[in-house]
Amino acid sequence: MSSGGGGGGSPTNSEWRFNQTLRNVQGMLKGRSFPGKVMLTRRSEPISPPEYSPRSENDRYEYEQNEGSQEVEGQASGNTTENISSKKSISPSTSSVNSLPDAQGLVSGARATDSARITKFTNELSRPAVILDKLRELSWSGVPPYMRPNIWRLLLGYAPPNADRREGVLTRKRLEYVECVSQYYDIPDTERSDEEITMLRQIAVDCPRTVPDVTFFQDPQIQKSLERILYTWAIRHPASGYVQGINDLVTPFLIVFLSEHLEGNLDTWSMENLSLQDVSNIEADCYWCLSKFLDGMQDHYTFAQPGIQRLVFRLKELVHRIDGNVPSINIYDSPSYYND
Amino acid sequence: MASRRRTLLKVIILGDSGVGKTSLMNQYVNKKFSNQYKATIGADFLTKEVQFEDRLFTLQIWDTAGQERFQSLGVAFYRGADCCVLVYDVNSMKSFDNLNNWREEFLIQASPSDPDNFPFVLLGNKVDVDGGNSRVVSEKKAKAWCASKGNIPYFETSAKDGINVEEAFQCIVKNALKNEPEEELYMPDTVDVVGGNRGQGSSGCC
Repeated sequence: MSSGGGGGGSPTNSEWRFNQTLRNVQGMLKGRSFPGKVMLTRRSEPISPPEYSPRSENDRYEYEQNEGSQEVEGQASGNTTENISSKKSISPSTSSVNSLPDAQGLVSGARATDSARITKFTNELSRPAVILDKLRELSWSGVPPYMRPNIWRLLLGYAPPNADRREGVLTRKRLEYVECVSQYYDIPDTERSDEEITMLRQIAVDCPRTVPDVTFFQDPQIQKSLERILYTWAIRHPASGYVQGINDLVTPFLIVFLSEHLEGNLDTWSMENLSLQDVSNIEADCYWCLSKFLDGMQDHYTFAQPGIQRLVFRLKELVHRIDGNVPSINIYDSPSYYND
Repeated sequence: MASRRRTLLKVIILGDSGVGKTSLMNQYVNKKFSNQYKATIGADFLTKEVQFEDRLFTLQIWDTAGQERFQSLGVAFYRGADCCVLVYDVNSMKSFDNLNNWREEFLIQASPSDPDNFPFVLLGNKVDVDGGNSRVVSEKKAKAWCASKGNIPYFETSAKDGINVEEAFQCIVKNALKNEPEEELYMPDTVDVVGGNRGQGSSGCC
């Protein structure tokens, strides 16, 4: 806000308002019963592209470790200067790749917690029947990358918590997906309705536009997998069909399930190192996880998009609650609207 | 500012998915082309300062999602538009055939006061593709459609090579102004959040 922004000039008052804002946001989040703790910081997060590199993942852990068990209110009150400054040195994680000495010191510090966390995860996962609530709570502050495939499959309700049944169910589901593909996707266009052809065309337009700046996604095999997943999902969810943007929701699943089979990072991955069976399983896992994920928000994509309207309304309410006294703003004068 | 004459022009870009709406907007505003655009979700807009007949305007260009599903969210974007830009891909008959739907949908949603004379501009994009060999919609056909809709101005463009983009948008500005009411609009004072930074902000766009 500019200095001329009306009342609330005194620092104590703005402090109070800031804390109030945080409490409101916290309350909102609690109301939606997210498990675990919500991390809020005063500094705005740098806007970074989706994080694929394992390095930035480490940073996240260090970051959380530094936070300790500090409650949000505690950070906001401003008397934890030490905490804030230590945070500063690491938090713009993705950009500062060259701060090597710093990073090393932190990595060794992070390892202690990492191994403790990994032990906790391992314990939970090795139960004969995984307690999903516990796993979810543990996962809230981050899942070690190599554990993600298993944990995501469990938390999304795709893999059953019961260890004895798990392999069998996954095998059956993967087969079911393959059958769906041959039934809906692998057919000549003459057997498709006009609507289905339109949908397939839309998907074909969007697949090359999915993470277009990462070469790996342009791999013909990935493109084909993406198309099959999206089309099969769309056919089986006629209330919404395929809607632009769903393509982007598949990409985290692709990365996570591919990481089970490919070494190194995205830049060095090659589909040639995968067997056809691997590709088929990965694709099926992506499909089912996407389905489970979208089950909770299908009304974002149905006619008139009531889910989105509801969220926009909620945001409006939230902004009103927090900044009720902000008058109309001339957005055209704001420099951010001139950025590319 | 003593005079409160309108200085904002709102333009909506409509057309099928993948015809190049985002690319045209970015070529015009940022003079850049990329084949790495993601699909537009919902809508997005860019602004550009333009000078026309010694007056300075802020052109607000709304880029919309090509997929039909997003049209329910479109109502809010369409309203108050001064000009509607229809885009098709000269290499796709389907995108040309859909122009009628886009035009009608716009007139219904935006409900302008004088629908018969509301300014549209048609752009046939991607003329660069394959040296024009994969083209399926002829210039003649496009012009005939324009004539049937009350002589809509028509441009053949390439957002990739920057062909005709500047010219098209100049025409769009001109047509957007045609709709300008004679009387001066009353605009209440708005809060200037950036104060003296206005000049700085606008220079960032070029």
